[in-house]
Amino acid sequence: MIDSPSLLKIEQLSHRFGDKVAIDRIDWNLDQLGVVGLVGPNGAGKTTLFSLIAGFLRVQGGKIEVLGGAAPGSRSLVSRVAVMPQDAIFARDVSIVDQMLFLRSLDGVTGTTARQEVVAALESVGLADQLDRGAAVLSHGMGKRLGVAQAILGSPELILLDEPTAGLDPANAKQVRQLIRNLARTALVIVSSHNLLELQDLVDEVAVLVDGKMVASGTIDEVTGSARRIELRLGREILPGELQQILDEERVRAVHQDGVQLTVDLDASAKRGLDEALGQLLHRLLKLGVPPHQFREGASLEEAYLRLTGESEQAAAPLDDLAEDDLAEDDLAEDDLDESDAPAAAETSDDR
Amino acid sequence: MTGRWQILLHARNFLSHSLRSGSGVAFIVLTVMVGLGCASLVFFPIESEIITAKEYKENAAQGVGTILAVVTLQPGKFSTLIEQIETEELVELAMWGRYLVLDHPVLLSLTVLLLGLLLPVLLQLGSFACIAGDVQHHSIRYLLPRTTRTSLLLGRLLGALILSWTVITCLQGAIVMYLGIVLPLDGWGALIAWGLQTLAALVVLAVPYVALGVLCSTIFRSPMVALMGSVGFILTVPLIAFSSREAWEPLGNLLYLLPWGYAHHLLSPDGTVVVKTVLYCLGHGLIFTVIAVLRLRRADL
Repeated sequence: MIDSPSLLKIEQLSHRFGDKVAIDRIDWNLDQLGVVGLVGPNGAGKTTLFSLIAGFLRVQGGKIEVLGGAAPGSRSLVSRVAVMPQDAIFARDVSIVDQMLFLRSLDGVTGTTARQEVVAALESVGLADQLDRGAAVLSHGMGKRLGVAQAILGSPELILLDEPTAGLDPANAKQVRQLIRNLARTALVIVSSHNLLELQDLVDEVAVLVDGKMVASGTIDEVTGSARRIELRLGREILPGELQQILDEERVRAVHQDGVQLTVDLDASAKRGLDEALGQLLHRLLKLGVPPHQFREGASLEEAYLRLTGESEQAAAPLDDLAEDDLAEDDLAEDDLDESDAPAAAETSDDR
Repeated sequence: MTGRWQILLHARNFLSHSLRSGSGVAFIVLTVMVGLGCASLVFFPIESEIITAKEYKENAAQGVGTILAVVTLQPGKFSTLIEQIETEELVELAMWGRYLVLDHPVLLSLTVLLLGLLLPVLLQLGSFACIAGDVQHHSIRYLLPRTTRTSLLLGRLLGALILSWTVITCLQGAIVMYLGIVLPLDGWGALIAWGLQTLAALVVLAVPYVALGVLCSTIFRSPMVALMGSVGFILTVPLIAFSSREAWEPLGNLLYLLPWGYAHHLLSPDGTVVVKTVLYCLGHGLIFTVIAVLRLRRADL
């Protein structure tokens, strides 16, 4: 992350739609370039917060300062803030290149330069071959990519992307992620997404919204409480006694077994905590004679998200059942584990 | 990028988008069809009866006198009529009728008078979706990071005005051509001169009504509701003013909420009155525009 003075400062921000509180006294300060994730359940207030920062909605209570102190929607922010709204659509009857050229002309760039920039932006999202088609014939995914393309036109300093990869196929999603990383070198990019595994790899910081309240914000380590999830594929299933031995390791917080798949939550809070925790885990597995065949970092952010939003109680109860404290008291009957695992696995799979 | 430049860009974009989309085409087709239909109502007697120009002018003078009596909102009681004769108001009215019927091409005068009653409603078709269309589909959210709300509204208003003026000009041009070729009661010189003068009157008359359409487009989030709102307002104001005036005369002034109460003075023989009426129309348009700007600047979009 690159230091920069007060890119976004929010103080005691509140917003209501009638009786419904959409945003509830949020404080948020972002003063560095980079990618910031905004996560939360449906209806948590993510889009409302984006709309307030972008100036689409009037600020009812509290204060927002954008790019060094300007109020959202003010004249000084014109062409410095870019937004990819979640639900906006382009004109159906006008070619996408004409619409993009018009947007660029509002920035003061016209002619050949504008056309080159527009073509480059559309190429970067894989839409270069759709230049002369109207938005009416674009698929949902293409429309999403067009939204991203218009947001990266010019040199915006603050970019708000509302679920930019939702509905995209893996190749295009990867392309958009790479694009976001490149943009973050010169801009603060705030991305909302339900794909927590994707965000975990993409963002420098993350904020979690629940019922209009910001329940956590900071780096991934700060939000996850330095808990790191590791997923392993073993050569054979581990016996209950062996599972207990793994759980007895100092840095192991919880273990979840699904056949030969093992998910381990590690405590990486200390200095070189992750190295030490991994060392302990691998040492124990080798000692038990079950070297991992596959090894990868799991969705630590997802675990933290479920904990912070309270959704873990509904969707990921099985993990709690396997937490260290519980294991000490309960028997590790395999049937019980299998029964309770199924919904958790399904939930994780859907989210990704 | 200056705000003025952005206004022009928005105006151009609105025009091109209107011409490519159904709403703009519908506006053009409907306005031209209704306008020509209205003109044919005026031309019909002369076409079917094949009466002489002189005879027609005499009949038309009576018709224009009646129309003017209505549009100047004079109560029809006999006692009031006597008062009007005494105060020479009717003399002025008669002079006006002569000005429109005998001094200028009568068919064109009658057509323009009739258009003045219809255009306020028709013009709403060209402006109702100015803002509401983009708000409804949230596509305004692509524009707002790159422009100010004021520039957007003024640009759309300018675009709607240019579109309306273009349609009015085409309509007026078609009517003048028809009168010059098919019913040559007057010479081309008189037709063109009066055609330009009455065109200017219709162009000025369009300003407040287009601005009203844009205002309604900022108030309502659905274009169709905005259309119904503006048309409803235009039609309701004279109805309420006329009916409530019977109960309490000052309520008749409700007519001045819109240019209904004074717009006919755009065709007055007195130049000073015409200039004043032009200023009133522009002032009315300015008021609607300012309210629309304030409304849009405070709106949640």
